[in-house]
Parts: sequence; structure tokens; C-alpha cells
Amino acid sequence: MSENKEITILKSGGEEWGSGSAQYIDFIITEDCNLRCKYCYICHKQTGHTMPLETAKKFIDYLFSGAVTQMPAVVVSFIGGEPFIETDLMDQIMDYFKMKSYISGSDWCWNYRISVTTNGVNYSSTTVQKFIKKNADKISVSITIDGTKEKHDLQRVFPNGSGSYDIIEKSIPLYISQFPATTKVTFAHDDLPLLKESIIHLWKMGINDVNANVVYEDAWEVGDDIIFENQLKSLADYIIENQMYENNFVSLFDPLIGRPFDEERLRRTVCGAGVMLALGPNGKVYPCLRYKDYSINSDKAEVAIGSVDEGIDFNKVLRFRVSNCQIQCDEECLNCDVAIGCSFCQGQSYDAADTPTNFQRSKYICKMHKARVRASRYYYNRLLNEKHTKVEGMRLTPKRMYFPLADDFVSYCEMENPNTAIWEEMGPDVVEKGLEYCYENFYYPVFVHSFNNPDLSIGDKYTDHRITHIVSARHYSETKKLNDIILVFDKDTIDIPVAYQSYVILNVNWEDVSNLYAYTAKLFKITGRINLNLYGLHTESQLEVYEQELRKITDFLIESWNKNIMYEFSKITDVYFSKKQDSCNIGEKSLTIMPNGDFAICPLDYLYNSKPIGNIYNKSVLVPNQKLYSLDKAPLCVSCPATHCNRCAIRNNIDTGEVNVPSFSKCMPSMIEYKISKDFQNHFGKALGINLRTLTEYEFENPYEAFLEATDNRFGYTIV
Amino acid sequence: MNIDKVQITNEEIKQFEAIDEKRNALRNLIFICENNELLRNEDLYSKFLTDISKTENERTQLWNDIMDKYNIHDDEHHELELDFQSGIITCVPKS
Repeated sequence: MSENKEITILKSGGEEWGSGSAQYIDFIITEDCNLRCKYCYICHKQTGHTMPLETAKKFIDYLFSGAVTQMPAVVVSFIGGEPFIETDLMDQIMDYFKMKSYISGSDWCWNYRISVTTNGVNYSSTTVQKFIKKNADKISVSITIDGTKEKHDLQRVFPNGSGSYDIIEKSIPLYISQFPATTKVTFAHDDLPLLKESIIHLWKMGINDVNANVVYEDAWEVGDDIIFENQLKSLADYIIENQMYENNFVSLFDPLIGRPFDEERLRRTVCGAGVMLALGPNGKVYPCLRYKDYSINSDKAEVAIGSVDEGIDFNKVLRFRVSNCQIQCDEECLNCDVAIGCSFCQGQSYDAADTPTNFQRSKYICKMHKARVRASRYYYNRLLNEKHTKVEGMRLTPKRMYFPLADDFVSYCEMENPNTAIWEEMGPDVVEKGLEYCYENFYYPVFVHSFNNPDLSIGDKYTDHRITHIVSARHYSETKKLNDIILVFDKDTIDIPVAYQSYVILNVNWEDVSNLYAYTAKLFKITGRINLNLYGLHTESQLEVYEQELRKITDFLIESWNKNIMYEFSKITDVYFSKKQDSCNIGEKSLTIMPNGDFAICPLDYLYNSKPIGNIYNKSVLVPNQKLYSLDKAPLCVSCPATHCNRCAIRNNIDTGEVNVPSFSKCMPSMIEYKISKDFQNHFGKALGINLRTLTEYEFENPYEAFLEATDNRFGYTIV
Repeated sequence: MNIDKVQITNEEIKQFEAIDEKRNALRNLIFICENNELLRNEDLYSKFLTDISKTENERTQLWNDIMDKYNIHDDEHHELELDFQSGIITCVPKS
């Protein structure tokens, strides 16, 4: 396997100052601006609406009166309109804030930052430079420059309609000499075709760290997502061809986006509205400036949470504190395969919602987000495959598409492939169409190679895709050029020397189960994790031997875990990491494409049932009775504590006639494994400081007994 | 100077950061007192001067502790620089 170098996704500025420990306080010191940017969300700018110094002082007095608890640090932001048209006011407010915080004995007197986001028009003026110099160690400034002159002047114009690029460009060298060079770029319908050249232009100006986003508003037209995706892919090509990927960043490419929601993300919302405080010129306090009337486009009322005269009414803050994605998203978003990174502005969502609620997220960027996810994957896949550069934080999602490349594909799960010879291989046309389908529908492709005669040069051909290759260890020497491989070992390949693998599969026949520990001990010399598959039918005596072998493996694990080497053996350690039963997601998230182009639930299902669920040529997929594949519809599995069991719908179907009902022969080894895992747990306690699931005593022989107890169903015969 | 590079701990970086933040804030407060007539206050001004002197002493003490811990010896031709992001102290010729 090729050596991957890790590059960090941290941008040049590193972690945001005070991240997680700072209170954000915004002073909207003016509602006026010297520009009239076409995409600006402050849709009701007003001349003359400037914050009186006394209003700011009252608010500062309130903050230090003891009425509001304080975070350890504070970020005081000045926004507008354009804050640098009121620089003297900003300076007076800060002087008062600093003195007041000192007198109050607050840590905010030293643990603070000033943040200013400006259009840059006045940046080089004596007044602004004096303010920056005075606060040199405590201030961060972000100038908005949108890219090329054409792109910038398309949106960022003076009230007379003329572009502002020329005047702002002159200040950029001074800005770069004073601050880490960064900017925030916004793209809308009109300027999408200028995206690539704009980002490159900013990099060439010396702004290496570009934050960019698309507008959240209802401003997109049919086909914009395609333009966006093509621009991003073209930018990716440019970065890679010009070796610019280690020193230039644009936030549109992000390795962390494009996964389904997890529980932790559902519990949070997208921004700090209601945690931060924004003071308006009129003395009202807002959860964020986007809830102030000057930013509301609909006929809804602005949302204030208090005022400098009456303080903050926490009842009005509550709606923001309890907001989270679980409540704010609809079913489509909650079930989206690529939900992470699809951001929204809570204030804009309130503005666009059907009723005046904070609990209905805006979805106008849905297609644009999906285009961004596809382009991001394209970029990082090319980096990995062509530059052998693996980006920190990138994770594969559970949505996989399996490509059994030949009839004799290597067995990789608990169902053994009965085919030992090749009659049919997958042709390039099906492979390409399948990969295209994966790209469009956010599947990760998994190539399951021929056991006997794999074509491993296939990895060179599709560098736009992140492909996992499952290969028999007997072909290890041919896998050097592949980035993601999973080697499959069996008794005949157990001694093949291979380089360290993070994860391997071990296939063992029940007849050979007495050698399980010996095989495992050998493999742990070259890997940190073994996924075990047992094939053939077991007898009662084989189960006894299996338990003995697992106990030997447990002794090995106890020794290693006590040395802080956390080897994982699927049948013993997986149960600590899952509260609900795992599965390979077939029928739900995973899909298979057969060599003839048919879609199948899984390769084994197709072999046993010969029933396709669609075809790549018409791109249709329909899983009949799909609900039966979900854990909720598996009556014996849903409450089973042996969550590592990897319930196999195909095997269930063969054994019991239903995909969601396991046989006793499936459950019995799982019960033994659970018992062993529970015993193992007593030996390591809270190993390595990781929060592992605590296993409890299972009082039943098998899940059917538990089911009878739970349903109070004692009728009917049993077999003795 | 007996070292080229020393890596200090995150905790030590935070100590340096906090002291520098305090020092910079106090310098700023002194500047305000000297330049903003509306906020001038002699009692506060003398408190700022006392505090900054204390903070400078704490800073010197922290440097001394770090030099002892990492066995760094001083030298009149060189000075030490701390990179707050990496936590690496390097020895550079005095400018």
C-alpha cells in the first residue's frame, strides 16, 4: 500500500481565538454603509441610525452589573453597516469597556479580543490605522474582497453603482502586513461562473485562507448547482496541477462535510444566535443581528431579547437555547445522507419560515450543498489517489456500493461466496456507470476482487473516486499501488508476510475453529483489528471449542489493553462501541452492483435469489419491503445486547425465511461472544480513558426467550 | 546558548499566553489613561502601573522556571523566542 502523508486541515490562522470559552458581543454601531452590495442581507440600511455612546455605555454597565454571567473570555465585535465609518465611536466604546471591566475585577479586562468585519473602503485611513495600532495585540480585522475585479464589482458597489474593487485592492498589501490574510467571499447566482478565477485571484494576492459560502436566500435558479460543481471541480484540478494544496485554503472544500447527522450534531444547532448578544443603535438587544429589523425581508417582526433599559428577558432567549437541528430540520434533512456541512442561518430561516418560528430551517441551498459535497469528494479523492495526500478528518460513510468484480469474489462477510470459478467479470462499462452512480448519489464504492485472479491495476484507472479494495491476502504483492485495501486472510494465507494493516478480515471454517487463537495471534503481529467470519455449520462441540479459543484471545487482549495497546477483535470488542445492533446496512444504506449491471441488495442475495432490485442502465433502485431491513422491524434483534452480531439479512432469510428473524444457529455464537466480552470487561475497567459501553448480565439463553418474556407470550409449543 | 529548540507543554504555553494577554491589556489601559481625558483617573493609573510591574515579574519568573526545567542557559548574544502555536522555544541571535 502506498505511504500516505497526512496534511492538516487547520488553516493558517489555526483555531479561532477563545473557541468554546468566549462570549460574543456585537455592537451594531451603525445601520449605514458606504457600499450597497447587491447580495447583502442587511436589506434596510439607514443613514443616521448610529449608536449613541451613552447607549453602548449603558449596555456595558449592564454586562458588568452582575446581572449576566460571564464566560472566561469575550470577543467584542463591531458590525454595521460598515463599522469603520464610525471608528471614533468604536474607540470610545472599547476604552469604556476596558476600563469598566478592570474596575469590575472581571477577567474580560485582559481576556478579550476586538473583531471587526469591514468592506475595506476606509481601511487605510489615518483614523482606522490609529485604532488598529492602538489595539494591535487584541484586534482581528477581516476585509471582504470577493475575488477578481469583475466578480467583486458585480456585487460590491457604491451607492452610485460604481465598483469598489480598485479602492479596496489598494489596502490589501497593508492588510496582509498586519493580519493573517483571510477574507470572506459570498457567491450568488450572477457570479457563480467567476468562482474559480476569483479564488485563484485571491490566493495570488496573498490571501491564502479564503472563507467562502453561497447565499442562503431563495436566490438560486435551475442549473446553478451544476455551474457551482463544475467551477469547484475545475478549481480542484487547478490546485492539484499547480501543487497548491498544502498552502492555500478555500472553505468550500472541506473533508468533514457530507455525512449523515449523528446524535451529537442533532443536539446542536448551526450558530450562536441566542448565545451571543447583539446591541442595536436603538438600545435593543438581539440574539444576533440577523433578527434585527434592518435584516428582515419578510413582514415578520424583528426579535429582540431585551434592551439596555430593561435588561435581557431570558424567557425570550429560551427559544434559541433549545433550538437544535433535530427540531429545526424536516424529515428530508434529518434523513439526508450528506447533511453535515449543509448550514443555514437561523435568522434568515426565521425570516423565511412559514410562521414566526425559530424551528423551521431554510433549505434553499440544498442542491448547492450537494454539489459542494460531490466536488469536495472529487478534490480529496484526487489528492489521495494522485498525490498520496490523505486529509485529516476525512471519514467514509456507511453508505457503500459493493462491486463484486467477478463471480469468484473473495468472501468478505459472514456469508461465504459459494462460487470458486469465474464465469463472468464486471466490464469497464458497468464499473464506470456504477462509479458515476456512486458519485451522484453519495455512495462509497467498494471493489470486491476476484479470489483467484484479480485485476488490481484497476485502481489506477479511477482516481476521481475513493475506492476501497477487498482483496485476498494471497494477492498482497499486487496491491502496492492501491490506497485503501482490506486484506482477507484464511488458513492458507495466514503466514503471508505483509506490511502493517489497520484492519484485516479473517475467514475461518467452523471445522477449523480450534486454530482460531493461533491465527489471531499471527495476524495481530500485522494489524490492530481483525474482523472474523466463521463459515459452515457449527456443532455443539465446535461451540465449546469456540468459547475456549475466544478465552485465549481474551487473555491476549487483556495483556495488550493493559499496556495501552488497544487491539480490536470484532467478536469481542465491537460490542463496547455500539448501543444498537450493527449491520452491514444492506437493504438500507448499502447497495450492490453485479457484473451484469443489475443492482442487488447484496452480492450473496443475488447469488441465492437471482432477484435484481434495479439496473445501472436505467438508474432505478427499489428495495421491496425495505422497512424489514431496519433494526426497528427486527423483533428479536432490537433489544438484543449482543450489538456486535452484525445481523445478516441474507442468512436470516435462508435460515428462517425472513430477512429480519435470525435463527438459533446465528444467535448462539453471538451469545457466547457477549458472555466473553462481559468477562473481558471486568479485566480492563475504564481502559485508556475511553468511554466504552458497560455490558450487563443477560439473563436469557437467547433473544427468543427475551422476546417471550417481554411480550408475555407463553402460548404454543417448543421443540425439545 | 546551549540549545537550538525546546518544546514546552500546552499548559506552559497557556501560562505564557495568559501573562502576555494581561501585560498587553494593562499597557493598553495605561495608554487610555494617558490619552483619554474623559477616562483619566490617577488612582486607577497608579494601580495599572503596580499591576504591570507585577505581571512583568511573573513573566520573568515563568521564563526562569522554564529555563531551569529545560536546562536552557542564557547568553548575552542570543535571545529566546516562543512560538505560541507550536510551543517551540528557539534561540535566535539578538537583533
